[in-house]
Amino acid sequence: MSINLRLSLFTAVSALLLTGTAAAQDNPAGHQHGRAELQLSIEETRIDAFLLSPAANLVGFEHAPETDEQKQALADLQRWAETRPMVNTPEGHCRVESAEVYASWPKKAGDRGHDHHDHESHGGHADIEISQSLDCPGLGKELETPLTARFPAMEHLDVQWVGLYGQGSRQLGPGRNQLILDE
Amino acid sequence: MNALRLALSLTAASLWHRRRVLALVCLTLTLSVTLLLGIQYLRTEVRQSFNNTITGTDLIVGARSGQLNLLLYTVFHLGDATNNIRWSTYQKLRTDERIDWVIPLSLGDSYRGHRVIGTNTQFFERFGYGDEQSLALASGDWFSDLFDVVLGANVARQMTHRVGDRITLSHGGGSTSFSRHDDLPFRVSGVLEATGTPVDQAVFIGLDAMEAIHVGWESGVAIPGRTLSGDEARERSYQPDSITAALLGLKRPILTFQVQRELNQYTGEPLSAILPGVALSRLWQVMGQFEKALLAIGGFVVVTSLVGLVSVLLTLQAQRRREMAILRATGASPALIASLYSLESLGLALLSCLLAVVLGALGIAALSPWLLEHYGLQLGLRALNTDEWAVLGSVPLAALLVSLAPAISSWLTSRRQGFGGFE
Repeated sequence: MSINLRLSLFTAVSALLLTGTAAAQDNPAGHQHGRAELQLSIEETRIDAFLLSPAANLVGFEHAPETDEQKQALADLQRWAETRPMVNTPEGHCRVESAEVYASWPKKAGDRGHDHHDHESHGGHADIEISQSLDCPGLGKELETPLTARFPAMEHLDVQWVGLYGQGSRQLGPGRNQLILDE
Repeated sequence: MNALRLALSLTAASLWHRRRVLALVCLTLTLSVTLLLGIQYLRTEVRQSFNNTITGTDLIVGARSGQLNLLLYTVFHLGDATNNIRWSTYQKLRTDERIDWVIPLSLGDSYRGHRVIGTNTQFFERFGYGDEQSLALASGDWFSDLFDVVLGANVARQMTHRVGDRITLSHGGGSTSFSRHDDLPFRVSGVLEATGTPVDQAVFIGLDAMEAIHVGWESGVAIPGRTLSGDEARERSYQPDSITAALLGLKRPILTFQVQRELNQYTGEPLSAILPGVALSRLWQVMGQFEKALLAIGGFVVVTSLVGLVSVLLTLQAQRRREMAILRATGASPALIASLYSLESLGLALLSCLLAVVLGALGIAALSPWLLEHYGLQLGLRALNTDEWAVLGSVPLAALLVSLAPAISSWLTSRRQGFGGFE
């Protein structure tokens, strides 16, 4: 790559250097409503999918469920995660083999250490993690995700993948739900 | 069938008759199509070469920073590290069972503006670029002595260095550094083959050599009497306190995200682990805006040429009234006369496309050695891909569309025109 190209590249991206990395031990993790991160590890026909999203995107609230409606919303999400793959082949061949949903509700005063679901609290914010193990016979280069259609509050979905066709990433959003792995 | 044959032979004769004027139109169109096709071709090639700057590395680990920053200073040798990572962390990475190999990188010094990278033999054995290609030596060997240095292809070419030459590294970055390690010169032990990546611009020394040349330095200055001579330096053993970053290869790439998450939450010190493939595609998304703008400019140039084509056709139309009248008198239908314009325009566009492909191929074949040598850009001839065929196909189609203007007007005129009558 030419020096000129590299320099222009440097100027072009220096404004974007603040792009953060994932959760850290000593810094609180970023939390931005409307955004979510999906990581895909692909080996042969198996996909391990991991979604990290502010709870507001998925269930509409960011505290431990209180009303029946909220409890129902969380149960619906759990059922959805157990049955619907977060990514699928265009023909829809993927099956969910196992799924787990973790919510990190903020702790209430005087309620420390009792909630075993409590991963990390974010002072008034909560994240939900969904991990799925998928079996996708006939897996090719193309994948689709129902996430942005199922959760309209998720306006930006940052997908990253490893395996099969190397590493890559793509930003998805409403109306953009396709991934091409060797792009 | 006969009508088509007649139309084609008339078109050919007409094009040949007006060859001088039309040759210029054809030249303009050829050049603009070459430009558009060239931009599209380069775009694909540069993107490919960019995405293949580093392959086979699953994670890059450095001090806590943004992923683009880490990618830029470790892979593209641009910008500086925010902090270093501890030697103990590097040792821990080496003993992790999931990690297959670790390449340490230590940055900070330079040689006439080229980045000096302190590393070990792992870099030469494990670093991958392009389509899973490994580094190869064009001449000489990887380091055997403490003060051996291996040069990237461009560094050796620009400085006209060969194996056996002695060079002096500078302390810190910049091409005009006054702090030089002139008491400890290095011997060029090998020169790498050109890779078309930033490796070509770098100078490689051992991690221990990086330590040795900084013994007796304080606050960026060599303290007289405390630095080592070459022989003293060789007798000592070195263990760095820190390195700048490390490249990791995992035994099972499917574990990449898991290892990344653990490293990002490492309690020993704040670390950032990034996926080079993901960071590269992010970077390209930023760069992608420029290439789209470039393609749009190419498109406008073609449109301008097509407008030029139509203006020439319309000018010619005015001169061809008598010819058309004679054709009508000999029994040519208005449709045949209209089709002449479209066929001429289509013929010109097809010829221009053909010439553009030939010109482009010749240009790439002629320029690629020069591009690799001066800009480190590896560019080879390959068959056109679907996007390029689409670009090429759109030109005759657009020419056919613009030719409709003179074609329709001549069709209308021919219908109005009596046999042999002039208006």
